Amino acid sequence: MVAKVPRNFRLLEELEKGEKGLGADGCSYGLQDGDDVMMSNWNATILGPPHSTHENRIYSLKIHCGDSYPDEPPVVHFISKINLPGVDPNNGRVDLLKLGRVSQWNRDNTMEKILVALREHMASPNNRKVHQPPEGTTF
Amino acid sequence: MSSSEQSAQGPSSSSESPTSITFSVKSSNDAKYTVSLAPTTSVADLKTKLAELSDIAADRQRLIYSGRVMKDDETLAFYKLQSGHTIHMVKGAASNTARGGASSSGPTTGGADARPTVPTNIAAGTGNNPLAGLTGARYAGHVQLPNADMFGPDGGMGPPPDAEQLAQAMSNPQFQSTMNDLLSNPQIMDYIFASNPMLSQLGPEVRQMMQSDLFRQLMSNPQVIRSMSQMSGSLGRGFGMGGGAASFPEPGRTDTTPASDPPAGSTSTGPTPNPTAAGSPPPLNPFLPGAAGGNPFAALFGGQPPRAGASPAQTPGQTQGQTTGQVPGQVPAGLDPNTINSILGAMGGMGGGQPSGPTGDPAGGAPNQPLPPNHPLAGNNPLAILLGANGHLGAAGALRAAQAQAAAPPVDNRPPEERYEEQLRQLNDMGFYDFDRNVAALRRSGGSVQGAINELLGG
Repeated sequence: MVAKVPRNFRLLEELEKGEKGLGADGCSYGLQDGDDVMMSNWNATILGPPHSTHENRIYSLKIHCGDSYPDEPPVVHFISKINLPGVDPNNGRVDLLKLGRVSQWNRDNTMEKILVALREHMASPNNRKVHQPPEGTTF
Repeated sequence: MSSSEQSAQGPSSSSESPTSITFSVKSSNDAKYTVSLAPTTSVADLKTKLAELSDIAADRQRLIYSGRVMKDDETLAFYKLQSGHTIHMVKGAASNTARGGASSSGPTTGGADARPTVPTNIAAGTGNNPLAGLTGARYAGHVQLPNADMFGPDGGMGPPPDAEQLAQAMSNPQFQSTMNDLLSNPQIMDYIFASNPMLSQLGPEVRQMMQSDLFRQLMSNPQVIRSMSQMSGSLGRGFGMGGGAASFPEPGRTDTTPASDPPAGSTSTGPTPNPTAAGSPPPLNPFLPGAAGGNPFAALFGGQPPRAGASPAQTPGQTQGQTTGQVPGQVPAGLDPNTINSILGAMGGMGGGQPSGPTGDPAGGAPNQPLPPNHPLAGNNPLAILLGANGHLGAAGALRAAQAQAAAPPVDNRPPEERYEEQLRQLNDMGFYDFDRNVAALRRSGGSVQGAINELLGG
C-alpha cells in the first residue's frame, strides 16, 4: 500500500490536469471509467499536428497505468489506426523507446508527456508525410 | 445560464441552478468559453450553444473531453463532466474526419454515426492527395499553372524567354533553388526519363550527368547563360531562336518527339547513327533541335569554332550535317559519341516536346491539351522552359559535366525534411512550426539556421 500512494496521488494529479484541460494543446486524456479507483485505464486523444498527413484527424489511444506507475512507464496503444514508426502496425502498441524525450523513462514523465512526445513524433520531418490509413479505422 | 468569453478557469459555482455545471470550452484558436448547463444536456445542444458563442457551426465542432470525442446524442452526464472541467473544441474540416474521430473514440463510446458535416474548406490538408508532394508549397509560385493568357492567339505558345529574361529568372535564388530541387528530385528525373525514350535508352550515365552538381550549376548560373547567349550569338543565331524557338513546334503541331519518328530522316548525315537528329526535323521547322544543340557543342569542343561561326550563311540542314559529322572525331575519350548526340537531341526534343509548359504533353503527344493544375507534370515546368530555351546550353552543360568527370559527385537527393532535419528541429524548438516556410527559408539561407530565422522574421 505504501508504494501505491504516490502512484494514486500522481494519477489523481494527472486526472485533474486532464479534466481541467490544463495540459498541452492537441492532447487530451481522462479515465476510461470514472469509477475506477485504481485509475489504471485511460483514454486519450491526440489532435493530428497541422501541416502533416495527420492534420484534422483525432487519434484515440488507450493508456494502461500498471501498479508500478510511474516507476514503470504505462502501456500505450493507439486505437485509431496510424502509420507511424514506433507504433506496432498490428496492435497499435507504442514503443516508448522510440519516442525521443520519454524513451528514458523516469518518474517525472507523465501520460501527457507521452502524448506530447507522440504528437511531436507525428509532426517530425520524417513522419509528417507518411501516408496514413483511412480515417476511422481502428486496430 | 451565463455565458461569457473569458479566461476564468476555476470552478465558478453557478447560482442559477443547483443542478447545472459550469465548465470551460477551450477552442483550438485559444478562445475560451465558460458555459453552464444541466448535466442532462445533450452534446448536440451544447454544440448549438457553442455555435452561438464561437462562430463555429455546430456540425463542424468536435468536442473532446478526457481523451474522448463527445458524441452528439450523449449527455454531459454520460461523460461525467463536472464543474470546473474543460472540454476541448476542435474545428472539424471534413465529414470523414468527424466520423473517424467519433467511431474511433474508444470502447466506451462505441461506434457512432457520421455527423452531417459539410466540408467548407476542402483545401484543408494535403494528406490524402497523392500528388501533394509535387503540388505542395515546395514548388508554390514557381510552377506555372495554366491560366487564361496561356491560351492566347498563338495557341498558348507565347514567345520563348530570351537570354536576358532567363538570366534574370535564374538569378532569382528562389528559382535557382527550385531548379536545383527539380534536378535533384529523383522523381522528376524519373519522370523526365520516362517521358523521353531517348534518354531512358541511354542508360544511367546520362542521368548521372544531369544530376551532377556541375550540370545543375551550369543550368542555374546566370553567367553561364549569358555567355552561352553570346556564344550562340557569335554563331549567327539569336539565343532565343537558337534552342528555344527552334525547338518550338508550330502551334498545333503535335509530333515533336524524336523517338516518335524512325531514325531515317534526311538529316541524319553523320557517320554515326544519330537517332536524335533524325527524329525531330519536320519540314516546316528548319531549326532542328538536334542541330541547335549541335552547334555550340562543336564550338565548345574547340574543333572548328570559326567554321561554326560562319554558319549563318549555311542552311540549317548543312549545319546539322557539318556538326554531326564533326562530332565523333572530336569527342574526348570517356563518352560515346552516340550518347552525346543522343543527349543533344534529347535536350532539343524535350524543349520541343514541352514548349508550352503546363499545356504541353512532354511526350509530344498533344501540346494544346491543358493539364489539370495539380498534375505532376506541372512540376516540370521550369525545367521544361529551361530546356526548351536552352537545349544547347543544357547539352553543353551535360557535356562539360561529362568532360569533367564521367562519375559525377554524389548528389544530395534527399528530401528537404531529411536534408534539413537537424535545422528543422532547431527551428521547431524555437517556435517556428510552419514546415514549408521553414524549408523555404532554409533553402534560401543555404541550410543556415541563423539565416533561416532572419528570413522567417524578415519575411
